Amino acid sequence: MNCSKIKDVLSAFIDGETDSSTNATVQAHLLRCPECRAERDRIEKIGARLRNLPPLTAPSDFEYRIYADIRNRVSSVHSRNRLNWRTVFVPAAAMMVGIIIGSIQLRSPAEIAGGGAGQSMARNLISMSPVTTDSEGLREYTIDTYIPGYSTPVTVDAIPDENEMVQPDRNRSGQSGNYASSQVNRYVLDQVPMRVGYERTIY
Amino acid sequence: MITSDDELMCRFQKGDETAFRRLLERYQDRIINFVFRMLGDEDTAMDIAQEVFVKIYLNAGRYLPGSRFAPWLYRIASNLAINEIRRRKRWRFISIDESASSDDRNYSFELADESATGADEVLLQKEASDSIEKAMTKIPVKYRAPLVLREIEGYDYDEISQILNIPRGTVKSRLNRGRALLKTALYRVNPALKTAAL
Repeated sequence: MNCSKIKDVLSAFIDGETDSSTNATVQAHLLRCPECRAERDRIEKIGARLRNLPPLTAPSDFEYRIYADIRNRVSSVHSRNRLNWRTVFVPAAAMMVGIIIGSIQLRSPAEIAGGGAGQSMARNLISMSPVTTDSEGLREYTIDTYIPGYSTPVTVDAIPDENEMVQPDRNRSGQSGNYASSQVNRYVLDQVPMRVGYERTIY
Repeated sequence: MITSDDELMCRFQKGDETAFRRLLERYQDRIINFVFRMLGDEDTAMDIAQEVFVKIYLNAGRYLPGSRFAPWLYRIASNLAINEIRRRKRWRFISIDESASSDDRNYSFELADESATGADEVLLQKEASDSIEKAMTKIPVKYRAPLVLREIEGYDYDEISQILNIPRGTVKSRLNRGRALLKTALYRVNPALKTAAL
């Protein structure tokens, strides 16, 4: 082995982690190579210096700090568990209430017509068609639902006449055009889930 | 008769708090020093060492009876220390790995003879110790960890392999490289060490 290869294994040799064959080769090389011997001495001295660095000792309250930390974490886990119980229970209870209310409404179409349907009615929408426009510009739509044989009238305000509506993008480009009736329906449908619970109904 | 670490851990797993306290007494200084040599910062070393034992306490159920406790303990400590170094590195730590690699074979110096005496010698010894502590923090953590485990904690290559979860051959190469880097870093920290025949 030349010096370069000896230096590659010198660290393991010093640590006693080389096999007997390598040991013999390195030992023989060190006997005749002062440069590699000096390198070995430097490695050993650095190691000795590291081992002799002044040690730290644990502060007197180290154990106390550990147990305090453990107590804090355990109590916070318990708190989280209580919180988790709440975060599961509250939505579950709300869901149950919603199911009960929804089932009552499905069985009582008259209540839906009276404005108490809320969001559940929007889920039951299948189509709608404009019927009348009153003097205030409020337009009445008949909304069909999945409830067999039942439709409810809904009034949505601030809907301009279809022929007067300008598409926003065309307006920006200086051109104008009319909304298709499907877009008006979409506009109304978008409002229904929010408004159906409290709209004025025209009979 | 000294109770083994494994036996103490098994007793602790069954609810014996005194067993945990005995393990704590047995290892607290070693873990504090190990983490300190990894980080070079006493306050953070205390915090990390505390975290190590809290983790041992809270995760005692993960310890497999019959396995070796110390490598498990050091592995937790090593991981936490490495995480801390990486966290710092993201903000401000600049590795000298690249710069050191180019010239680590160009310097040679003499370290203090451990038997040196006299006031000047004592000062130089102290200075050399400080320099080594500082130099240790300058080498990349992947070389620092095996160096600390080998030189300070006295683990063999197989144990270091187990603690750091790297192959034995990698331990060997990292120690070889780590020692070369430490030598270079030491010279950079304290150029006088190159010529001072300590």
